[in-house]
Amino acid sequence: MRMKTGVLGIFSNEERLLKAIDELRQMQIAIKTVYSPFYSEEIQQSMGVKLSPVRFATLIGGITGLCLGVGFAVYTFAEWGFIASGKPTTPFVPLVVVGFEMTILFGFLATLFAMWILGRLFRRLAPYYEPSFSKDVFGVLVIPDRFKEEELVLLLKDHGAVEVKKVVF
Amino acid sequence: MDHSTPSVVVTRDIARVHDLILGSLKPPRKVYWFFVGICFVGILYGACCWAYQILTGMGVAGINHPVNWGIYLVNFVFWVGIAHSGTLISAILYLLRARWRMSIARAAEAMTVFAIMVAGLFPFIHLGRVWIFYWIIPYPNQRDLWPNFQSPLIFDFLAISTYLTVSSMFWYTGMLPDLAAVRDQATGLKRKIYGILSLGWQGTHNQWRHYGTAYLLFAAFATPLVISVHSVVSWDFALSIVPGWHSTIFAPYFVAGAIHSGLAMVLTLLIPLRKILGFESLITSKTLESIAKSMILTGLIVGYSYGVEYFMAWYSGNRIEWDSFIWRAVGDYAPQFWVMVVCNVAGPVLFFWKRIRTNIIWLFAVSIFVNIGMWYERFVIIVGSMAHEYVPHAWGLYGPTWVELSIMAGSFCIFFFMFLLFCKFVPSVSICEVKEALHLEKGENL
Repeated sequence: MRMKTGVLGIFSNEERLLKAIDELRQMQIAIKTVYSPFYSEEIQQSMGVKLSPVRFATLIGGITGLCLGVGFAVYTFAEWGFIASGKPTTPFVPLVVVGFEMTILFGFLATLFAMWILGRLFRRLAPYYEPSFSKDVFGVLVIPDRFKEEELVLLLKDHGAVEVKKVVF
Repeated sequence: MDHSTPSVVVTRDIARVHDLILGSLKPPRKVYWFFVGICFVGILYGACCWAYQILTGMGVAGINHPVNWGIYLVNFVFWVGIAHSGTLISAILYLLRARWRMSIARAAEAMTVFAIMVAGLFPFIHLGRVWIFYWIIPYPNQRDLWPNFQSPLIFDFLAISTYLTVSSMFWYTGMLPDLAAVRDQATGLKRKIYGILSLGWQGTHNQWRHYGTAYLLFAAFATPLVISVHSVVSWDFALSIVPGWHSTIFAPYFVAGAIHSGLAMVLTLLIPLRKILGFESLITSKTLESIAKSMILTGLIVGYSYGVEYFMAWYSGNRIEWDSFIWRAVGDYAPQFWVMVVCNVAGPVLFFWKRIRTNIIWLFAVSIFVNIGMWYERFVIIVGSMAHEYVPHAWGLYGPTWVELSIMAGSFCIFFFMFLLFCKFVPSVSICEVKEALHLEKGENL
């Protein structure tokens, strides 16, 4: 597989990182990834990401669970066919409980699996991953398409990166 | 005491918070292993008693006609109740953006997961012939008979298993960034183990994006689930025709009681935890005060429910029902009834006084009393109602045997054993959420 090169800027301060991201995006430099030790709405906004499609998995999972739960209960009622006190063999009220629990279970599991898949979990750590990304520093990995690596190094340093590295991935 | 203290003090320094919380995972002292050992011995003892019951038969337990549901099911309902507040604190307060949750949510969620695991054991213990437990799972047997989906016991199986799955994965998913933080600081085998547990979390903006949405959705799922689970547990009773059980108030009454007992257990666990792990600056007195205030509300709801039960028994004009409730207050189980009322209602009322709810010793003492009171509440409802049904010649009393009490003691040991391990092997306060809160506070103060 062909190796790609990139430039990793490490920031100790989120404000500087945000300014750097804005500048990089204005210059139409491709940002591959931004690392942060906690969830930051500002980083999400400055990266211009859309709402996560995990929501659709949740909806599909929930509807599937509802149909499976209700369908299965109705099927077993029909199989059983037990008439007690002249009441219908397929009552409505118990279906609410079964349908509700199965909606939650399947919706939850679909959300979980979607998060794992879309978040690209279960993969090896990137070779340039810094352990301090989970502590108190931020990182931005840019891909030098139209720019030279040296230019990007200077740009990131100008925006307050405490360290800039050339990386291969 | 400084009441102007914000929910998170420390030094507004993310790195320091990181080091403080991860510092709690240092190798423990001998006294820790001593308590772990005591719990382990308790578990073995409880397991031996259960084995003795399986080999000898259910006759070694005190349950018999007319009280066929004894303290095994009292404990089941008690532990399901305890399991409630963890997810409540975590999910509902997350949706409400209540920041005081963040320092206690992890431990409360752990409490939920361990309590629901312990609760799940009791139906098996009560079952007697535990080797045929799989009959409750929906599968077609040779007679083509399916479990009855109209039965509240099947509702219970669905609700509890869903709750166990959801609450444990909610807890685990919330821990992923923190497990990665432990991994990044560890070396050798520990690094490998935490590497596997953190599922390759790197904190990329893409991961945070999906994580943020998923966590919000998890909270949105968990909130109605919390309400549904204890409602379903209450229908185990309310759908029967036993006087004292057959009541429409049971679902909200059980949910309020569950939240009440769960909050009390959160206090019981967190007060020593913050002292032992040095988390006073994270789990502040203001956080504990917020829990105490919540307990005033839940205690009053529980007290109101006790009153409404009596009112409805009288107002219904049903003589059997009214007699059953009178017997509760003045009959053979009257001491248990009054312990329940005093501990669950009068105890939390003390929290109206700021001096009491900001005093750690009072908080701890009242939390213990509420735990005791809530256990007795389940005893009074389950045992008290069955002991005094319709026909006077079928009335009878129940007392737990040493086997039942030993298995119950074993269940407490399992709970505390798992909680002790949790405190030393995973961050008991959410590092990433505390960092996020520090970040947000900084933004607000700018």
